[in-house]
Amino acid sequence: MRAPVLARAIGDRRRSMLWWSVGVAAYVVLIVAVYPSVRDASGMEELLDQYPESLRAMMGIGDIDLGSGAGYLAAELFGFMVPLFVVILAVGGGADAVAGAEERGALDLLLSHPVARRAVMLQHGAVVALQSLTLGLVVTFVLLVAEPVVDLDLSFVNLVGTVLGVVLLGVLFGWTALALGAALGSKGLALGVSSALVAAAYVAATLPELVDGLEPLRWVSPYWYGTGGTPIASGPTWWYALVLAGAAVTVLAAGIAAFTRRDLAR
Amino acid sequence: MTTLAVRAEQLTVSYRHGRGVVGLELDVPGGEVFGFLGPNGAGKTTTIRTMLDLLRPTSGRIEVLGLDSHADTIEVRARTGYLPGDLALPERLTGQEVLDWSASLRPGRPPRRRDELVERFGAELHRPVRQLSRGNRQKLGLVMAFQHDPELVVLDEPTSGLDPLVQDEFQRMLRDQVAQGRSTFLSSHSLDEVQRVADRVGIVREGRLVTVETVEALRERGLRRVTATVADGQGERAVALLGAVAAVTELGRDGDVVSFAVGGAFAPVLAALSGVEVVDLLSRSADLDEVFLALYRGDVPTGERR
Repeated sequence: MRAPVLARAIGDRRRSMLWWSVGVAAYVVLIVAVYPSVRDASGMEELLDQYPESLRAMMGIGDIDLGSGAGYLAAELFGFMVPLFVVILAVGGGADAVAGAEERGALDLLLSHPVARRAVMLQHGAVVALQSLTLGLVVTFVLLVAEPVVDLDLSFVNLVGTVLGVVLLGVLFGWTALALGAALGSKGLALGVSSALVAAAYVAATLPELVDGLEPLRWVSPYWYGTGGTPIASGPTWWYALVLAGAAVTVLAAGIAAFTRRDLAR
Repeated sequence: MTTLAVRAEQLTVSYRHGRGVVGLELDVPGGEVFGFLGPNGAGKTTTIRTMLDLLRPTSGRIEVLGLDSHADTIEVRARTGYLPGDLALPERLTGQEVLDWSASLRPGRPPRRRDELVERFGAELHRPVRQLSRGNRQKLGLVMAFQHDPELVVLDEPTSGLDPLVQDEFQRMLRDQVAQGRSTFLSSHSLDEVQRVADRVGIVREGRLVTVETVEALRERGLRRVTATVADGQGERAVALLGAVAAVTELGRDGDVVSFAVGGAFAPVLAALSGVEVVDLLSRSADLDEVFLALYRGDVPTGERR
């Protein structure tokens, strides 16, 4: 299959992707390296048990046993930081792909070639997905290597399910930024609105942990479908992935529809 | 009759900011160089970008090579080459990579003219675009527009930033295009440039087509600005004589220096001047604004589009 837009985008982002991967891998290594001392430190668990429930909720650990490898990773990696890395990369890349090119004046030249706007969107969508997937694979790889060394006692299925949720979360928000940028023609607006949506999703997923009676709120939050229920410890809820994938496809389709209908700015 | 290179039917393109195009009617025959002439903001770029489906007609339509600009856009773009007015090349790529990138976006159309064009223009292929001067970027843009040997090349202000030697080469190349039966649609705000390269010229102003003429006709009716210096005390007599010539307008006198515009044949002017002793005679072609004024005079209802 020929995909010149995708090939160009990957060529452009090769270097930044490398550094992102190195950075995320280093972060995961650091977190994992600290695990044995946390586990063995006497009183650590008691200390964490004494944390207010709200703080534990915001760390994404609820009532998970922090002494276990899975509980530790849920708190230190998958509750906040890893989703954040993936989402930042995806939203930045998505907003830049079309809206950024349009603002640089590069879209005129590209679209004077016989390539359909829909194809441009699909190929940039694939790039965003590949970037999210790459970070997901980096995290998975580091954890699989480290697992026997520091005795994390992870379930492979739970790990894959957890990473899948995070990757799909990145795809959804990355495609949201791509679609908004393509529809509005403004990179700044696409970044701003997407970031606000990410923040709102995080709040909607976390607030029910802190306030009784707000549970229905989490069902509108992509963040919940991507990370909810500490899948690394309790096992993934596979249909959450379908919800995210469905939402992502819908958003991208809407972006394509808007992009193919409008005039391009010069 | 062969297919027209470009045909606009009641094309109106309006957008939020800036002027668009209003009710444009245009037939551009194939196998020619067509100059699309007008001041900045006249709607030249809007028309060109509509041809390539970057903008959509508000009403009316525009056909390129007999194909609808919107419905058949992929085929239109496959069979044309384009040089944008604001050329934004990928900064990090080298010239070679830029040309390869462009070719990769045109499956089934190998860049068979690339080597010849690179040599003709002396395009720089091995340095990244961000290190290139405006002229060198423009050369790459020209190679990109022509390298796949398209049936129609659309150029928006192609010579801006090019040095005179390259401009000459560019003009020779446009003549070659005509010899090959290829069509060129080129916008410009310079009457001189268009006169040198085009077979036919369409003049636009404020989003409307004023006229389409062959360059010959344009030259014949071409406005000249003349300044005549006459011998002492003969200024008044010169004005009286010239005032009787129909083609003379904007007659003015400053002592012995008489200046006027000529919008037609020159012979009657010389005949009139033979009645006085001419010390010096200077004639130059009018600039674009003056041509517009001449074309507009009595031509366009006043109070419209103000």
